[in-house]
Amino acid sequence: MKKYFKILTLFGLFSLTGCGLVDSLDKPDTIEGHETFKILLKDNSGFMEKLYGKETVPNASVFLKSSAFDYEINAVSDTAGIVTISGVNSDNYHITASRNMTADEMLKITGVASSNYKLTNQQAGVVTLNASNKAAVELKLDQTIGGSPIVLSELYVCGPSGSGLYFHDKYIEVYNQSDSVQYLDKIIVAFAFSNNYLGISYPNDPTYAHIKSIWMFPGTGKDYPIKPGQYIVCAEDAIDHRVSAPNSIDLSKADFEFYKNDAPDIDNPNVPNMIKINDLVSAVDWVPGGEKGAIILAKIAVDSIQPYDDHFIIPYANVLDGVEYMLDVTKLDKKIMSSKIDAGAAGGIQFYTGKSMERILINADGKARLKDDNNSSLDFHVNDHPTPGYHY
Amino acid sequence: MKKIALIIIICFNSVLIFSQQLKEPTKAFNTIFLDKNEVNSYYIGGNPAYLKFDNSDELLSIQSTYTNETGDYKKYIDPETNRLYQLSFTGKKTLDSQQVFKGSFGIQKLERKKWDWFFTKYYDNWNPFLFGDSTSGNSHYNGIVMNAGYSAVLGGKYLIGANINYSVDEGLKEVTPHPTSKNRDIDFSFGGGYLLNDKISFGAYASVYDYQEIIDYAQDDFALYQETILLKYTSYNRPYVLPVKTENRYSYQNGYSGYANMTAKPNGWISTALYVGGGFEQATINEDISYVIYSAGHYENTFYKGGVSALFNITDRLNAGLYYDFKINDMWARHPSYDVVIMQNNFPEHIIKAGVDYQFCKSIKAGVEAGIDIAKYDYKDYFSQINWSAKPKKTMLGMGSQVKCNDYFSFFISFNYSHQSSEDNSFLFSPENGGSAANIIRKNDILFYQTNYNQYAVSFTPAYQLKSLGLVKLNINYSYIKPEKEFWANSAKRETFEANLEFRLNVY
Repeated sequence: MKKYFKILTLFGLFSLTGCGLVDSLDKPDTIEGHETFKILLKDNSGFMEKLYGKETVPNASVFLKSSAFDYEINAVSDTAGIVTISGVNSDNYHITASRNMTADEMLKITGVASSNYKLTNQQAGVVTLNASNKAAVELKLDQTIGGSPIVLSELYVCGPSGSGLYFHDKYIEVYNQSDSVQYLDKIIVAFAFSNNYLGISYPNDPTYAHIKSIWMFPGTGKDYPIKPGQYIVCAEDAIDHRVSAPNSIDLSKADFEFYKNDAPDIDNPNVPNMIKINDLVSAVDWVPGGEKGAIILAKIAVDSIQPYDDHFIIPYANVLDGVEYMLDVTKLDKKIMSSKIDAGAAGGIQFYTGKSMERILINADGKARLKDDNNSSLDFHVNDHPTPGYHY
Repeated sequence: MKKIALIIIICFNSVLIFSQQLKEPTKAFNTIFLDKNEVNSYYIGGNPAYLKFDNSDELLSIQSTYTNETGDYKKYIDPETNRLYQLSFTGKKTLDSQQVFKGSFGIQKLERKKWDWFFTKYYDNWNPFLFGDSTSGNSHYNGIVMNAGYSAVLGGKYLIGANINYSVDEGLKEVTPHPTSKNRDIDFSFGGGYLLNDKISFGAYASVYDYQEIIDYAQDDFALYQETILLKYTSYNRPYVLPVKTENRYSYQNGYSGYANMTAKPNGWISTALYVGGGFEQATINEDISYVIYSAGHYENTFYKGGVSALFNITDRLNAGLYYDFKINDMWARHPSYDVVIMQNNFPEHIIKAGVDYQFCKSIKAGVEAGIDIAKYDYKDYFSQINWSAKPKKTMLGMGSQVKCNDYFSFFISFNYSHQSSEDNSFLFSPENGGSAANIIRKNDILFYQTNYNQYAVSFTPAYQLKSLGLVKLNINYSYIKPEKEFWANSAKRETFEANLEFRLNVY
């Protein structure tokens, strides 16, 4: 009936005025919230083919979190490898799908009874559940062996509240996830490369992580151990920032300091300095982005880092951990770092609000662990205040 | 309940009714204190071709209007106080025996006090895509309103006419982050009529409106000291909560409608006019984030509308009137990103009134009017999985009197009482995704329509004739709404005060 009104009205109006066009939409056929979504888990490793003669993945644990809203879904795939979800809205969902391979299964597949294999969704950390699209969403799972023992556990980069443009109290914190002593010597800390001005970034490079602002932990091999469950704080300036910014924190007892010896930077002589390999990001200090950016931990010899245009590249295989953070965490299409490293993004923090991003503490097999599913949208939460050297 | 919305619409969309503002202030009534010359298709339906039958004299007038609506019986999206200041200049001129022109120009300031969260100017028209931020404070809109109407008689039997309303204003939220907005509104209608004889005429008219709003959130100096959260509402619950500081939102709304009308005065004591038609309106909202345009939603409403008014001049002293008006709305909204319906609302409303007035003597005329306003809401918010319905029924009783004290001084006084009771109220909420009905953010937006209340309104309009120079007239209206305390605090109420001072200069 609406069409008739349009035709009648428009004929009358525009035959006289000769102007204007109506750009109207047809009413969609699909009602939001009334559809059932299906996610089909497909094995990219060949394990399921060898075990069951099919490529779908049964009995996998799936966790979804709406990118726009604060609700989460836990599910398990059925024998056909399908996860069925109903009563939720169309949205982009952060997803982690995981299936642990038992020693018996690996014995059948490889002939070796290994228990640290699992299938995970490394290629895509976000799925779109769209009620108007009735087809099942496919999610490919690849084999993963273990995980990084050293992870980025906290990023504090926005600056304190109530102190104007004070930004010198930024820090990152790393954590030993494993049950054995690890060593930080020569581990690389870098920013993922992007050029905001020119709109250049390389999140889709299949092989290399593009990096800039490269720093390295000091030491020759076993000089700087990190014990199981230990936090290590690397500060932009290892001083008591409360002197200049009352709402800030005391970083004078930080474990490492980013000291830029070619700039008017502060150096606390009691705190070991990180070694600057290449940093042209800021003329004054080590300065991660306050609202958006990405930080990478990598284990690679410095002379193996290759130059590329005005920045550098390292293979993904050398990356230990990476975390991207954004102001608008729903706009994952604007990511600058590959989903191979981080399928999501932490953050949603404005400049100068005194908030930090911290990895979520979970209980895994009776042990306290920091969540590390390579999806910062799911692995991190936001703290009202920074927690250097401890968990919230 | 709908009356409140109507009052708000009248107050804050003055441009839409500008061409009607010269009518005497008996707007509290539809069936009494009517002149039979007012029962025509200019007043009933608003065909601009019938401007010739506008009952007002040729004049120039200056009007100053103050309106203040305040109280805590309000929807979640309403400000605590709406305040409007308006100054307008109006003129009407018969160009020759066949042509009439009427126009006006006004400036106005609209203030919204203690307006939490929202910064969308036309927030109360069922369009679910609202925009605002986490701050509470005052906002204001300053702008101009203009109107021009013209009609002509061709060949003694054919009427043509057109009317245009135009307004622009700029809005500002007075607290950080100080968002601004620019609003532009054009409403154009044209029509024709055929005078079959001196008793019956037929006509048709069409109208189109186009409204544009641009809201700009930019960083101000206080951005360093205060966190800003932008809120994008799509439904009664689940706003998009984004910690971004800058965003531009573009809202385009337009509507198209067409009507047929008839005026019949078969004999000396019956005057009738009716109209019927329909149309549709739509709103498309986009947002600009870092130079990328995203859809923020689409809303449409298809409606059918009509009405009839009849006046019976039973004797020289006794008149009776009947009035019926209806509008049937069928609304839906589309998801910003996916091709799915997220809201539907079917909303019919019917108003029936009857009244009589009697001329007791040369100087006193009094009348009484009764009526009923029946509406039905069936709202389905698929996005938040909230369904609600209501059948509010509003019964109205009013009385008034016109008193002419002498050749110079006269006044009009009226009292109206209304009672609304809402039946078949339902409020279904699917808590699958957490939360409960009690925690729905915009719960009061639903309860507002399901509340029983009493409304009292008085008006007083003294007028003083300045001999041949013109007229000075003051119109004061006061309305008080007291909801029953099922959902609201004991002290909840909503008051509206309006004062209009007019100086009318005769034109010869």
